[in-house]
Amino acid sequence: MEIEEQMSATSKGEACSWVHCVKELYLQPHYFNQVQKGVGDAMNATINKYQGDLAGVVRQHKNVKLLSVDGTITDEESYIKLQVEADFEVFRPFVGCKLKGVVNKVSANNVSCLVHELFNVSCPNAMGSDDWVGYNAVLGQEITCQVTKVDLTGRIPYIRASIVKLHQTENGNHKHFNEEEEVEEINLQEEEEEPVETPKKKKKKDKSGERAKEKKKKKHDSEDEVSTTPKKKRKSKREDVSSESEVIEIPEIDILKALKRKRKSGDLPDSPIPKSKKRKLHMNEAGDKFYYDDDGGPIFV
Amino acid sequence: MSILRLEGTPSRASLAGLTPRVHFALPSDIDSIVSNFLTGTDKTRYQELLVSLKSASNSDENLINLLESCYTNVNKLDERVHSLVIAILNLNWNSSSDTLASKFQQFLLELVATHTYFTSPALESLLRKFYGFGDEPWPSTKPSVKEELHFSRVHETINQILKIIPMSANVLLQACDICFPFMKRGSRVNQSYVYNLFKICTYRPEMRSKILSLIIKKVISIDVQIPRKLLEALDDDEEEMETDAKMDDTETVFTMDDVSRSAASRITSVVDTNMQQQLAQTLDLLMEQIFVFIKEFCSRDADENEIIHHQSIFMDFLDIFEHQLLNVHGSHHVQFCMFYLCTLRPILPELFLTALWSKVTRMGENAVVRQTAAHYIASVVSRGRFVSVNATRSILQQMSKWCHAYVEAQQDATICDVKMHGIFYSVCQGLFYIVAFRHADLVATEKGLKWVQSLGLAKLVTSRLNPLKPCLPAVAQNFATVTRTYQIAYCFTVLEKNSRSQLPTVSLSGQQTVTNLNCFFPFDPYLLNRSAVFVNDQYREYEPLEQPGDERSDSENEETFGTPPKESLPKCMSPGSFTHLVSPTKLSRSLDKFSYGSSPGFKAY
Repeated sequence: MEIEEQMSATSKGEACSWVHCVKELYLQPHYFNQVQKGVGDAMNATINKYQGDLAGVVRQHKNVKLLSVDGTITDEESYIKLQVEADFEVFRPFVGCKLKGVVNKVSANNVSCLVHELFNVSCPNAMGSDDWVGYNAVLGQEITCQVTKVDLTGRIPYIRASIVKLHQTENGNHKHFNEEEEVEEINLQEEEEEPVETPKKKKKKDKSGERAKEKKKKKHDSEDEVSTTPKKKRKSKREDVSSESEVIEIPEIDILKALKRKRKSGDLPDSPIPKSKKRKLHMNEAGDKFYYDDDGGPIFV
Repeated sequence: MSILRLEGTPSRASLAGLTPRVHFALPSDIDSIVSNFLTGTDKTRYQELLVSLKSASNSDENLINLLESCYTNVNKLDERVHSLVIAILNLNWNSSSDTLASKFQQFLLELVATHTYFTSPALESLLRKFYGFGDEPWPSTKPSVKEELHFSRVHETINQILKIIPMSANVLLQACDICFPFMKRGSRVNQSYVYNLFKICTYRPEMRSKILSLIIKKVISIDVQIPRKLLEALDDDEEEMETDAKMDDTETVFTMDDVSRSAASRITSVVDTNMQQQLAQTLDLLMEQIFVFIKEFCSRDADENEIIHHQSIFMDFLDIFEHQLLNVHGSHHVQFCMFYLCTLRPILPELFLTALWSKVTRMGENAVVRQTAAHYIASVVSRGRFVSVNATRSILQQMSKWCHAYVEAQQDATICDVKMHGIFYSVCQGLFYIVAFRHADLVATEKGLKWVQSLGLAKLVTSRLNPLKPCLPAVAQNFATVTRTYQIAYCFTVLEKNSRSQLPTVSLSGQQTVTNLNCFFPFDPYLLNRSAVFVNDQYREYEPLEQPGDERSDSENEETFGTPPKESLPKCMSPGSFTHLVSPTKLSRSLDKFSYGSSPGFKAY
C-alpha cells in the first residue's frame, strides 16, 4: 500500500526515487553466527535486481534497521525470516516518464543509451521517419527520452523509449564513452568508491608499507595475523571512503583489485581531464585554459 | 533439428565444392518476411527461411546479405519471431573471411542493444563457440592458429556486449555455468572451454574470482570420480612394462602378481576403466590449464606489481579453497593448485599455513573441517620444499603447544576415542607425520636437536589420550624410528601395547568407540603426467632414515627379503595407500626398506 502511494507521488515524472519501507529478509543457517554479515549480504543481493514488493530495480540502500530482535521460522524452512526497515533507491520507470541518459550505441535506425550508467534504453525510429532526431545522435551525448514500453521481469530490464531531446554539453565536449567502463564495477556488487588519492601514489604507499610489514612478519612468525599485511593498511582507508555505501561487509582485497585493474588493465579513461581531483583552471598568457595533471604538466582544455 | 545441419563439418566452401548441390539462395528481404508472418498473410516463407538457415550449405555471400538486411531491420526482430532470431544466432559464422564475422558481430551487437532480452541466448550461443573443433587434445597448452582466430573474434564480441550492456555481466556468469561441457564429453572440449574462460578473465578481471570458482567446482567433480588406485595402477602398468623389458630374468618370479592384477581388471568392466582413463586425461589437461593461467597471470607485469598479482590471486584461491576444497572428500589433485601457488612466493605458504591453522583452532568450526585442515597442514609442511625450516619449526611449535594444552585440559580422559577427540588426534598425527618426514632438516644442527626435544613429544606419546593408537601404522612406525634414532622419545613400548589391545572399547555413553583415524593426505604424489611438471620440482619425496646398518641389508641378494615387511614405505608410495600390495619389482628398486638400526632385539619388526 505504501508503495502505491509513493508511486503516485512519483508519477509527476521521476523514475528513480527513494522509498522507505519494510522488507523481509531470509537469513541462511551459515549466517547464524554472523547476523550482521548475513543481513548485509542479503541487502546487497537486492541491488540491481528487480524486487517485486518494491516494483522496481533497487540501486542503493541505506539506514538498514532490524525491526525486532526475533525472527520467525515457518514450517520446515531452514532459514530465518527477518523484518528489516531501510531506505531504498528504486528505479521504477513507467510508460510516459522521462529518462536522462548517455548514448552508447548509434546505428541505422536505433539509438541505445545508458540511464544512470546502468540501464539500457533503446530508442528506435518507431515512426520510420526520414528526418528522425536520432540520426544526429553522437556517442557520448546526453539525451532525454520518454518511455514507451517497460518490461522489468527479465534478467535485464527492457526499456523502450522515444527521443525527446538531444543535449549539447559545454564546449561541445561529450562525455567520453570509455568512462562508462568503470561503472561495470557496480554491477558485481562492489562498492562505489572514489579513489581518495591518485592511484599511483596509493600503490607506492602500499608497496613500502607491505615491504616493511613483510620483514616484520618473517621475524615474528606470529600466529594471530590471519589477515594479510595489506589488509591492515586498507582497513583505515576504508572508513574514509564510505559514501552512502550500500555495502556493509567488504572483502578487503577489493581496493587492491580495483587499483590494479584501473592502472594496469588499460581501462583508465582516456579523458584529458583527470576525474579524481578538482582541478583548478589556469590560463596562460595566450589566453588558453589548462589544468595541471599529476606529473605537473599542463593539459589544455 | 534438420538432418542437414552438421556441427563441425568442413567449411561450407569445401562442402559446396564437393558435389553439385541445389540450395536456395537466402532471401534478403527480412522485413517483409517478418511482417507477413506476423500479420499472418504468408507464413511459409518464414518457415522456409528457418529451415534453410539450419542447413550447413549456405554460402558466405548469402549469409552476408542476410545479415545486412537483418541489421537494418533489427527493430522488427523482436520476441515474436524468437525462433528466427535463435536460428540466426546459431549460424556457423566462423569463416576464413573477416567480412562474415564482422557482419555477424555488428548484427549481434545491434540486436542485444535493441532487444535486451536476447542477451542471454546471444551469450550462450557465443559461449558454445568455445567448444572448438577437432578431437585430439592440443599438444601444447594453446590452440591452433585457426582456432585462436575464431576464439579471439568471439572474445571481442563478448567484450563489446559487456561494454554496451553493463548488466550482462551476471548473465554471462550464468551462461558460463550453463554452457560448461559435461565432464565426460571429451577432454579437448573441456580443455578448450576452460582455456577460453581464462581468456575472459584477462580482459574482465572483475569476473575472475567467480569464473575461477566455477572452474574449480567442475574440476573437483571430475577429480573425485577418479579413484586413486586406478591412477596408481596405470602408473604401475607403465612402469612394469618398462622394467619387464629390462629385467627379464626376474619376470617369472613376479608373474603371480601380474596375473592377479590383470584378473582383477578383467573383472571390472573395460568400459569403466576406459571412461575413467579419459576422465583422468581431462583432469590432467584442465589442471594444466589452471597452472598455466596462474603462471601467466603472475608473470604478466614488471616486478613491482608482482606481489599484488600474487596476493590477489592467492586470496581468490584461498577463498575457493575454504569454501569448496575443505569440504570435499576424496579429491586428489585439485588441491595442488594451492601447492603451486605456494611455490611462487615465500610469504604465500606462510599465509596458507596461518589460514589453515586458524581453521583448526577455531572453536565454532565444523569438526570435520578442522580435521581436514589439520591434515592439510601436515601434508603441505611435509611435502612442500617451499616450506622453510623456520616455518616448519614455528608450525610444529604451535601444534605441540596446542596438543599439550589439550592434554592438560582433558585430565580425566581414560580411553582413546577418536569421535570425541578427533581434532586432537588429527593434529597429533600431523605432528608425527611432519617429524617423520622432515627429521633431517629439523635435527641438522645441535640446536635443532635440542629444540625438537623441547617439543615434548615423549610426554604426548605417553599421555593417557594415547595419540599413537589411532594413527596410521606406517606413520606411527616411521615416527617411532625417527624418535628412537635421535632419542627424542621411546615409542615402541606404546606401539607394542597398542597392537596388543584389540578389544573393542565402549565409552560411557554406550557407543562403541572408533579407534582409527580417518586419514587423508592431500598432497600425496601427483599422478597426472602432463601437469606434473609444474609440481614436481617443489615436491619432496619421502626420504627414509638411513642407518649405517642398512647398507649391509641393501645388498643384491634379494632372496633374504622374501615377503616384504608390512610397514615398508617405498619411495613413490603414500602412507595413505598403505594397504596397497607392494610390488616386488618396486621393492627391489627402492631400497627404502624400513628398519631402524642394528639393534638385534627388534629385527622382528
